[in-house]
Parts: sequence; structure tokens; C-alpha cells
Amino acid sequence: MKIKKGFILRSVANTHIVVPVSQNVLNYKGMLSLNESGAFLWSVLEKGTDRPGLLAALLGEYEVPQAVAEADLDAFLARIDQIGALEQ
Amino acid sequence: MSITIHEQRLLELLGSELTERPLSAQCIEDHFRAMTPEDWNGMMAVAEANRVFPLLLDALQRNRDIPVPMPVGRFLQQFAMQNSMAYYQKIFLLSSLMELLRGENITAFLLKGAGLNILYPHEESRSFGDIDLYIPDPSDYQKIQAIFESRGYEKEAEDMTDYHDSYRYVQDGAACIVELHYRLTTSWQNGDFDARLEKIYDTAMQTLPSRTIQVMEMEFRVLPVTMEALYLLMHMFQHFMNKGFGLRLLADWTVFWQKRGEEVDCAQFRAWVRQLGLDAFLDAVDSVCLHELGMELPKFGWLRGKEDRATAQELLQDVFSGGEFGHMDESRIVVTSRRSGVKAYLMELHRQTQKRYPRASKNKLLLPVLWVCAAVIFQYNNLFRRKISLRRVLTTSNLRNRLAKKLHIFDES
Repeated sequence: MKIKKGFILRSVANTHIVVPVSQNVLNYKGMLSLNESGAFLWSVLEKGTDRPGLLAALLGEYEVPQAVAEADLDAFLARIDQIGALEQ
Repeated sequence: MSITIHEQRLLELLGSELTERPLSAQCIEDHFRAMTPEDWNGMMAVAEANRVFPLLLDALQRNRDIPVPMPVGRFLQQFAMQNSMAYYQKIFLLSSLMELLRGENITAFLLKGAGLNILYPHEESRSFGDIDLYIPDPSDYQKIQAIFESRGYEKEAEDMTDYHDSYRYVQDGAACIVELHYRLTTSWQNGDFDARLEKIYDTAMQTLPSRTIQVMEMEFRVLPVTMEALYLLMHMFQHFMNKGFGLRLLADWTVFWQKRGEEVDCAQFRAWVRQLGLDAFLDAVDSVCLHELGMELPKFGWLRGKEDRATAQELLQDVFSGGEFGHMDESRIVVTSRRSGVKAYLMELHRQTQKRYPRASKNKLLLPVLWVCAAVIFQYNNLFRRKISLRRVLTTSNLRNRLAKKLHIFDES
């Protein structure tokens, strides 16, 4: 899995926003704001990894129970998939 | 009269952000550490009048040693977020519009707007209003007008300019105003100034290499860079002669020279400015940006001869007293070049009549009637829309005309 080309993460006023760029601007489906953990997962996905790799990175960065991390991760993946930013 | 402490603080912060240099610890200690709530309110009011809240937030984030009251910080963050979302939406509209034009083989140049946003440290932080496109080919212009009208995009009836038409462009539920420019500037109807400017622009378009810029990884055609420098100066000049301009245009000027200055043919730019008799205006703008916003002019060997700081300060006061495009001061009207008195006002009445009634005013028999109509509308607007006396309007006009005279605008020499 990785972030599809044509989406960038911008930091605005302490918020992280996923913005379509290049030709994706023309298929504008709106923007997505991410919290800190979402922005972290985005940066990991930019390099390409799989779900276990993402989960491990999340657990390594934040002290949260595994179940919470898994739920957050799945919610994050669903959101970025919805705007067409996820490449499987 | 000098600028207020609130205006001074705002300039220091904006200068820090525009030049990407944090303020010194001493500066923060002397000017910002002991700010009271009234001081913050005062500075915020100036920032609001000049539409620079997002830039102010960026400046405060660059200078984290400045203690920011929580309500101020929260407000600025919310504002910056909304501003950013509006920016991305405008980019979406701009991109779809340019795609439409490309599909029709229409050549369009992006003016100002996103082309300037990308020069800022954070491109979202420059408030981006209408989309301005220059379409130099008359047949292309007619073509795009026909396309707009066939799609039901409404022409803005309030647009009385003589160089662009405004349309409300809508796409997928989002909308914005698009200004289609068929000329780059208004007609000044002043001697051969119009002819000189037209010739400069025509020659530049024909001889200078065109260029493109990237905004959000999309490519847009823009004016040649030396021509863009002149265009930005003329844009400021146009607004100065109208009702004034605010800090945003000075910020644009500063970042333009910071980021594009090395690409500009400075000798050519200076020669054009000289041909137009705008040296003093340019010098005043440069002096303000150099001393108040930290613009790095000396590397361009810029300011000719003796710098007139006093006039530059007057220009700065004019900027602050009017706010964004003079909207803070309802008594402002156009500058009647460097002349004042009854003759100057009558000449300006004639000019405004021609703008308001472009076709009818060509009929000389109708002119007296049209003059009366224009004068009545002017006074009606003073009394009932702007709620200001004619006396105050004329007092302000005299002051601004005096500044124009010091800037040698439209001097015969």
C-alpha cells in the first residue's frame, strides 16, 4: 500500500490537510484533515508499506493498546481510500 | 504624522514572515513581550483592515517566543484554516477553468492570484480573491465569453471597468468571480501615458519569452517575469490612483523581489518605469518595503539618488489609513493626478462619466446630461451609501492629490 501520486499533505494552522494536486485537482472530491497520528501514518505510507508495517509503526510511535491502534488505522485507511488517495 | 505602534508591530511581524527571518530576541523583548489585550486588539484591527490574518499567524508561529493570548491564537488558526480551504477550492476552480480553455485552444495568462501565492513561505496564507486571466487575442476573448454565456455564467453587472469583464464561474457546487482581462490595465486618459504603456506591454509580450509556473503541480502560463514586475507595479499604481491599496500589495511586492528578483531584467524594468514617469512612485514603494518589510533591495542596486523617506512614509500612512483597496476610508475617491481645484474635479467627472457610460459618452450632444447624471449619482452615493459629506470627500481628495504631486505622477517632464 502507498499514497497515490497526486495527493500531498499540507500543514495549515497546526492542522494537517490532504490536498489533491496535479490532475487530481480536476477530480476534486474534497479535502481531508488529519490529526497528528493520521499525519504520521501518511508519512509512513508515502514510502510504501503494508498493513502490519503501518500498525507496527503506529504502535512504535504512540503508546496505545493494540485494539485502539488497529481501529484508528482502519479508520484512517478507509478515509484516505474514500478520497482516492490510497494505492493498494 | 507617523504610523501607530500597532501598525509598526504588524509591519515587523509581516517583514519577519515575508523574508523568512525570525525577529531578534531584543526586538521581541522590546516590542512584543509586554503587549496588553488592548495592544493585541489594536494590532488585530490593523491586520483585519489589511486582510493579513493568515500571514500574521505564520509570523507568530515563526516567532514562538512572542506570548500570544489564547483567544487570539485560536481565532487566527480558525481563520487561517478557512482561508486555506478557500485557497484550495480556488485552485480547483482555476484548474478546471484552465482545462476548459486548453480544450478550446484559448491562450490565457494567469495574473496575480495563485502565481503570487506560490512565492509566499506558505502559499495558502495569501488571501486569494478573484481569478484574473488575461486573454490577449480578441477572437479568443469572444470565444470564451460565448462559452461562459452558453453555460449560464452570469456577467457581473457592477463591473464598470474598461479592461476586464467579470463572470461568476461555477463548477461542481463551488463558485468564484473570474475576471477576464482583454487589456492589462485601465485607460488613464492622460496624454500619451496610455500609448506608452500599451506599447511597452505589446513589445514585452512579443519579445520576451513566455513562461509557466507550477501551482499544486499544475502548470499555468504567466507573463514574462520582467513584464510581471511592471504589471505588479502598475496594479499598485492603479489602486493608489483609485482609492488606495493595503499591506497585501506591499507584501506581494516584497516576496516577488525576494523570490523572482534574480530573474528580472532590472535595467529593462527601470527603463520602462522611467518612460512612464513612475520613478518616484517606484522609489516610494521600494523605500517602504525596504525599511518596513525588510525587502532586500540593495542587491539590485536599486534606489536612485537620494531616497525620499518622508514621501515614502506618507505613502505608508496612506496605505494604513485606507486599508485594503481604500475600503477603510469611505471619503476616498480617485486621485485627480497631481492637479487639484475645480478644473481637476471636472476632468475627473468627465473621466468617470466615460467609464460609467462608455457608449453614450461618445455622443457629444449627450455629454452634458451624462455629466449631470454622473455627478448626481456620485453625490447620492456619498450621502446614502458611503454616508459621508462632499466636503470630507474633497478634503481627503486634496490630501491624496498632494501626495500624488510629491510622487510626480503624470508630470510633464
